[in-house]
Amino acid sequence: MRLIRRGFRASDLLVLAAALAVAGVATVLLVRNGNEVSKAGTRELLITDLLRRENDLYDLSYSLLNGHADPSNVRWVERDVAQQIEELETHHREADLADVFTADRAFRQALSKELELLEAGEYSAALELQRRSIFPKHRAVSRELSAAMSDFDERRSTLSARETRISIIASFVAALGIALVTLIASRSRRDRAAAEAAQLAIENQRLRDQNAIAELVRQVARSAEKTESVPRLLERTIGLVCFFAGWPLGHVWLRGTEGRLEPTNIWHCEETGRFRSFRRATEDMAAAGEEGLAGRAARSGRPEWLDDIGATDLPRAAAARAEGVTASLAFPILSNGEVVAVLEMFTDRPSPAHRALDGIAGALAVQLGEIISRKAVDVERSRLAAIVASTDDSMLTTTPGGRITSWNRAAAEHSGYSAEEIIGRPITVLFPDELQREFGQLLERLERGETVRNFELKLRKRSGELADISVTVTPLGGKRGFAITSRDITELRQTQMRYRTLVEQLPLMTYVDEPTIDEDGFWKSSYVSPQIEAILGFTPEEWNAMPYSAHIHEDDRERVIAGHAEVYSTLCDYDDEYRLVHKDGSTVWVRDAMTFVRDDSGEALYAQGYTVDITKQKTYEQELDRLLARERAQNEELRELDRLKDEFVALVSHELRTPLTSIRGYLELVLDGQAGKVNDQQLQFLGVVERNADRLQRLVGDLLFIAQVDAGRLTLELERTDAVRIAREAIEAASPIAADKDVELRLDAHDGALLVGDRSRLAQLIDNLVSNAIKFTPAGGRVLVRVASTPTGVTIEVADTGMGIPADEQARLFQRFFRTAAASSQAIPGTGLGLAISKAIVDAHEGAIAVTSEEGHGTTFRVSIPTQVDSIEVAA
Amino acid sequence: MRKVLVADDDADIRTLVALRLRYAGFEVVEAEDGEQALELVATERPELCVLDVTMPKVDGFEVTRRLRANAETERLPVILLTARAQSRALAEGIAAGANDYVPKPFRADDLIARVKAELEGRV
Repeated sequence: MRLIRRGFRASDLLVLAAALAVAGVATVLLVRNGNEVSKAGTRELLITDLLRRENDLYDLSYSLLNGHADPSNVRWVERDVAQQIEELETHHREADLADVFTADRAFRQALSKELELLEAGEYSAALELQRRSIFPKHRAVSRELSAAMSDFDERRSTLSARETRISIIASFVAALGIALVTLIASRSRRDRAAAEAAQLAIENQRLRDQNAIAELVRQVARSAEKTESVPRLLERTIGLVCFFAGWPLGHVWLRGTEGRLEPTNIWHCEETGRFRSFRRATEDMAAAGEEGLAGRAARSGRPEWLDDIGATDLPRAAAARAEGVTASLAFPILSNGEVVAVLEMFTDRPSPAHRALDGIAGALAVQLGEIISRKAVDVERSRLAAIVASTDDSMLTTTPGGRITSWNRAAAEHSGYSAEEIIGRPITVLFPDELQREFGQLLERLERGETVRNFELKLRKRSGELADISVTVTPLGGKRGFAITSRDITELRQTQMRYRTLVEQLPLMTYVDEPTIDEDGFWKSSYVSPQIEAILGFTPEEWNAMPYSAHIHEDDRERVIAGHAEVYSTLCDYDDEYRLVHKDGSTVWVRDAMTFVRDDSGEALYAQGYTVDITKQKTYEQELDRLLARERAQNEELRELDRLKDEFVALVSHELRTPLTSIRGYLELVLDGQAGKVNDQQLQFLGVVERNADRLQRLVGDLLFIAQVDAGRLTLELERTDAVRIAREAIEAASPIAADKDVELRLDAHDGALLVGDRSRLAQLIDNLVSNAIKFTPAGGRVLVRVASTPTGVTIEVADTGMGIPADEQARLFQRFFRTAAASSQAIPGTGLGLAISKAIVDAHEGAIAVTSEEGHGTTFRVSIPTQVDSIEVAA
Repeated sequence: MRKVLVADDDADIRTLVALRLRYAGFEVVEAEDGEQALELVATERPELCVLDVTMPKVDGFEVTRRLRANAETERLPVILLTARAQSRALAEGIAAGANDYVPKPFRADDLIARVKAELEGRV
C-alpha cells in the first residue's frame, strides 16, 4: 500500500513539472493514462467480486452442512462449490489475474493435501507440508498479491513517467489552461481510483482471511462427518487449528459427568516430548481448571487471549515460564448455548496477529457446537431408523386424523400394501367394516390421550385376508398424530386356540397361578379350565371367587397349605393327592401336580398345573387296601391253622405211635417167648392183636403221609433206580397174600426200566396198587404187573380181573377217604387213602396216573413216570 | 458188661427197651427225663445213650447237644428214639449230634443191632 502511495506521489511531482511544459499532446496521452488507471480499478473490483462470491459459497456450504445430516447432500454441495470456485478461477484467468489465483489455488490444494495427511494420521508428512505452507504461505500469497499489485502500480507509474517525459518533449504546444484543467480532472480521477484500490486491497485481504478460516472450518466439518466420537473430533480439530495457525501446542477441556470442566489427555503437540511439565501441570489442574484460562473462556462463552501466560498468576504460569510458553488462546465450544468443551492453544514463538485466530475460534465454537449436537441427534436418529427398518413389528405413524404418514418395511410385508400406495390414505382402509366399531373404541381411548397397549383387533390385508394383530398406539407430542406398532398374532392366536381346545378337552382341569398370594398364602389362579365344573361343580368364576383353602377338605387343609408354602419357596414341582370339596358338599379326591415357569434369571413367572379327579381310583385303592388287609388276615389265619395242623400232626404222630410202640414191643416180647411159653391158642389170639396193631400202624402212617403232602413237605429222595426191580420186590412181598386168596400174581417185564425217582416212594406206590388189585380180585382171578420203558419214561400197569369200578365212581377214585360202594358193601378193608397217596407220589414225580375199568371184568391202573425229575422237592 | 443209658419219660417203653437191652447182654441205667439222663451220664458213665426225643424238662435233642458240648462226653454215642417221623425231626437230631435215629414203633432186633453197631464202631 505504501508503495502504491509513494508511486502516486512521484507521479504527482512529474505531473506538476509537466504542468509548466506544453501539454497539447499530453491531453490525449493523459486520457489514455486515465483509461489505464480505470482499468486497474476495474480489476480490483473484479477480484473483490470474485472473493465475495467465493465467501458466499462458503457460507452456503455451511448452511447446507448444518441443515442437512445426509453426507451425500454435503458431498453434493461441496462438488457444487468446488465447481463454482473453478468457474470463478476461469473468470480470474480471463481477467488476466491468473498468476495471483494460481498461487491462491496452490495454497488451497496444499491445505487440502495436508488435511488429508492429517486425517490419515500421517503427521510428519503434514508437518513437512506445513513448513512449506499453511498460514505463512497464505501470508506469502497475500504478499504476492500485494507485490503483484505494486508491480502493476509501478508499471503504471513508469508508464505515467514515460508518458510525462513524452509530454514534456511535446508539450510546448499545449496550453497551460488546458493542461491544468486536464490535470485537475486527471488527478482527482487518479486519486479516487487509488483510494478505491487501496480500500479494495484491504477488503480483499479481509476476505482472504475469512475464506482461509472458512476453508479451515469446512475441513473441520468434513472431518466431523467422518469422525464417530466427539473426543476424537475435538482431537482432530485442535490438531487442525494448531497446524493452521502454526502454534505448537493445543489441548482440549471437556465438561465432565458432574458438569465440571475437566482437563483431558487430548493434546496436539508439534514435537513429541516438548512442553512436558506444562502439559503435566495442565492435566493436574483438574477441577482447578475453573480458575484458569479455560475456565475463563467457559464462563465468558467467548475466546480468551493472553499475550504471556507466564506473566500472570494463573495456575500454569510457573510451568509456562519454565518452558517458554507465552501467548495463549482458549475458546469455548458451545452446543445449544452451553459450553461443552474448551479448546486452548499455546505458543512459545512471537505471537502473530490474533485477529484471524479470533475469527477461527469464533467460527469453530459455533461450527463444532452444532456438529456435536447434530452428531448426538444423528447417531440417535440413524439408530432409530435402523431399528424401524429392521424390526419385524409393523410401525407406522398417522396424522391426528388417522392418515398414514410413514410405513416401515415390516408393515409393508405384513399388510401387502407398499409405502407408496398406503401413505396419505386413512388408516381405516386397513380394518374391515364389521370391525370399525372396535377400531372406534380404540380411537376414543386415544382421544382421551391414553397410550393403548396390546389392543387386539383384526386387520384386513391387501389380499382381503384377515389377520389378528396386537397394536400399541402412542400419541406423538404436540398433537402431531400417532405412532403405531403392530404385531401379527394370527399364528399365535391359532396356536393358542389349538392348545386351549386341546387343554380343555382333557379329562382333567388345568390352571395357571400367578405369584400374588391370597390370605392363606396360595397363589391366585388367573386361569382355571372349564372342566372344573364337571369335577367340582363350580364354574371357574365361582371357584376363583373363594379362597383356595376354602375348597380343601378340612382334614387335608393344613398339609396342603404347608406343601404349597414349601414349593413356593423352593420352586420345586408340587405333586400331591388330597381332598377337595364339591359344590354339593361331597368329597372329591384329586391329584394336584404343579410346576413353575421361570424366567432366565430363575425367577418364577407363574405356576401351571392340573388337577385330576382320582376319587374312583381312591375308592378302588381303599377297597383294594381293605381286601388286602382281609386277605392278609386270612393268610395269617391260614398260617395259624397250618401251624396248628403241624402241631396236630406231630401230636398224632407221637401220641398214636407211642402206645403202638408199647403194644407192638410187648407183643413181640411175648411172641418171642421171652415172657414164658405161649400155647397155640394164645399164639393165634396174639396174632390177631399183632395184625390189628399193624393195621393201626399203617393207618397212622398213611394219615401222616397225607398230612405231609398237604403241608407241601413230601420230600423225594431221588436216585437212579430200576422200576422193574422195585416191582419185583413188591410182588414178592405180596405173593403170600395173593396165594392165600388164590389170586395169580405175575410180573411182565423184560429189561430193566431205569429212572430217577424215590425208590421207597415208588415201592409204596406199587405196593398200594398191587395190594388193592389183590383185595378186589376174587379167588381164581389174576393180577398182572407190567413195567416197560418208553422213550420219555417208564410205564407201570397193574391190571386185575376183579369186580371193576363203575364209570361214575372212577372220577372220585383218587380223592382221599373215598371208597367205592362195592368196597363198602362188601366190607373190604381199607382207609380210602391208598389211591390218594399213590396219586400224590405220581404227582411228586411229575408223572400221571389213570384208570380204565369195566364192571365185572377188571380194572387197570396205568402210571407213567418221566425218566428225569427236574426238581428235588416237589409240592404235591 | 457194657453200660447203656436209656431215657424215656414213658415208663412202658423205657422198661421195654431196658428189658430188650438186658436180654441182649447190656447193663442198663434208666432215666425218666433228660435232666436225670445228664446226671446219670456223669455218675454212671455209660458207653452209649438211647434217648427218647420227646421228654419233659430237657428233651432228647437238648441232651444230645449238651453231651456234645462237654469235652468228656462229646464222643459218647447217642441213639435217638422218636415217634416224630418227619424228616425235619431227623434233620434236627443229626444237627444236634446224634449218631443214629430210630423211629417208633421200632422192632427190638433193629434197635439192638444199631446199639451194637455203634459200640463196635467205637471200638
